[in-house]
Amino acid sequence: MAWRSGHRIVSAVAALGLGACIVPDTNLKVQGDAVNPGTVRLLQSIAVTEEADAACKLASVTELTACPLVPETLPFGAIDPAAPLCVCPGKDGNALSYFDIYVEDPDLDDGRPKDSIFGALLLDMPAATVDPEEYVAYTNLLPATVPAANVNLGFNSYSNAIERPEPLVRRWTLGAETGVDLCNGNPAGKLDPGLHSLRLVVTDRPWYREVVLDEGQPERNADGELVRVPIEMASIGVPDLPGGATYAIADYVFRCVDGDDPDASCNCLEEEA
Amino acid sequence: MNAVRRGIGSVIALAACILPDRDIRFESGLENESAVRIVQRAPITAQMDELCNPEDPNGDFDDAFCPQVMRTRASGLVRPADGDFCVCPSPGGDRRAITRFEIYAEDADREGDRAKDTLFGVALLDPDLAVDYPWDAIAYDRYWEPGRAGERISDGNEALNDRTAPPNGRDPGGLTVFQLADPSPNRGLDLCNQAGRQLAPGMHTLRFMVTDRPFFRPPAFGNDGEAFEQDGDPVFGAEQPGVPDLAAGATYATIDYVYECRDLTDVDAECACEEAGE
Repeated sequence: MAWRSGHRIVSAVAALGLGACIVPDTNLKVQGDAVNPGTVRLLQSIAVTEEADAACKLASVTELTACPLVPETLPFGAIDPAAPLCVCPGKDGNALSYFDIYVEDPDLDDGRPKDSIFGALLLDMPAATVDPEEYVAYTNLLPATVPAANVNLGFNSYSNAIERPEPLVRRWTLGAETGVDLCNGNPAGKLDPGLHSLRLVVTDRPWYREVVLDEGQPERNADGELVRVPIEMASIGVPDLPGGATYAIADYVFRCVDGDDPDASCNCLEEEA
Repeated sequence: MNAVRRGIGSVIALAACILPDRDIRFESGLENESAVRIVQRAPITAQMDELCNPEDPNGDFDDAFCPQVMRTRASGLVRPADGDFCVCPSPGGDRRAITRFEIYAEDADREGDRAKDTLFGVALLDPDLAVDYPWDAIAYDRYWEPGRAGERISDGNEALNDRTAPPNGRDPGGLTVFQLADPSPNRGLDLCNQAGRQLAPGMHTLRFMVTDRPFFRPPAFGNDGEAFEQDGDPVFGAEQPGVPDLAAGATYATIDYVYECRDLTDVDAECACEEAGE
């Protein structure tokens, strides 16, 4: 009789234990080795129709009055300024005004954005180069080691994206105090007249650092981690692929006109003293 | 004794339910957990290239250093190897057409072991934010049918000197490829003459947009302002390629190719237009 009673207790405890441990797997994802599950993305606004805006308004659980988009800023692609951008002895009076770059990355840590997002501008970089750092430019506008700032876009904005987790948006503002003088403002020197390509690379890990090699193969420490060169030797513009970095790329293309060309409508300002 | 048993039972039950939260992530339960992303080839260093593609093709390689996608045309400024792209008199084309190329995109949403979202693409010419009809920018439908779905491909390949590998640190979401190509295998992409409309000389942007939902279709309304229904289901109008269905939770990503089309009559332009009938 006693063994029956014990059996019932064990069964009850087992049932209780099993029942308590039935966890529905809906919305539960095992990440495994995923140290960086969310990818970084560059964002830009687009044109939508009135009908699409009306559909967003209907679908929204908040008070959206239009589709959720990031604020308009300088579009990627060809830069089409109101007046030509010129190579001048001093500054270009037609220089662009400041503009924003928006990025998002969904990774969270205790409910807060987890990853720092870094960006670099690469000027006229050939596609096949294996030395991207040579082409890093405009570090005065976008310092490669200053992460984008978290930004609150406000209520009824892109943050209220429909049927998506709240996008965690970050932003850089380029040339907030100086404007953006593309033809004259690169610290490495003035640009040649002609077409130029400016590539923006953003990443959610610090820039790649070369690995220390041991007989041609990457050296690893006792924890199995790659042994790297010091951070001061980081390869700016190169995402840390072996470190699990994600990245995004966008391009601007612009023309610099010779400021001495009498046919161009340049607006060169006096050289600063 | 009963109190002891109850205590033991409680401890066992509690212990059995302690799940380590490491490596477990709760998803939002929303329709579209992950956003679509265009995947370009990341800038790499000589060392990364050597570790991925050793000089000896049979040598040891480390795929942690490999890019995710194969070499293809880079975005940004597109120029011919020599001379200029030109607007040529119809029906001829530009001999400096570029070779077909691929655009890669990924989306991490999964349903079991399979990709959940199909990715759709459209080519746009000089898109403008301040327009009422974004589909007016649809172009190059000779090279990509507007709104068509891309083709799913697997991550990683062993091509000589162009090895690729799935990403590190996250689940490989799988790739979708969109190949922009002329239907005639011997012809390239004539950016200045085959947009589907006449291009003016000057700079132009081909923007390719991908999205993880079919493009937006507006509900159809009758003259009385009431939405049409058929068998209780709403009836929709024509698809609007170039307008992602944001109301359905769509996300989108874009990639831009910029090029200059010169005027054939410009004495400084180095054009290479085909002769009529060529």
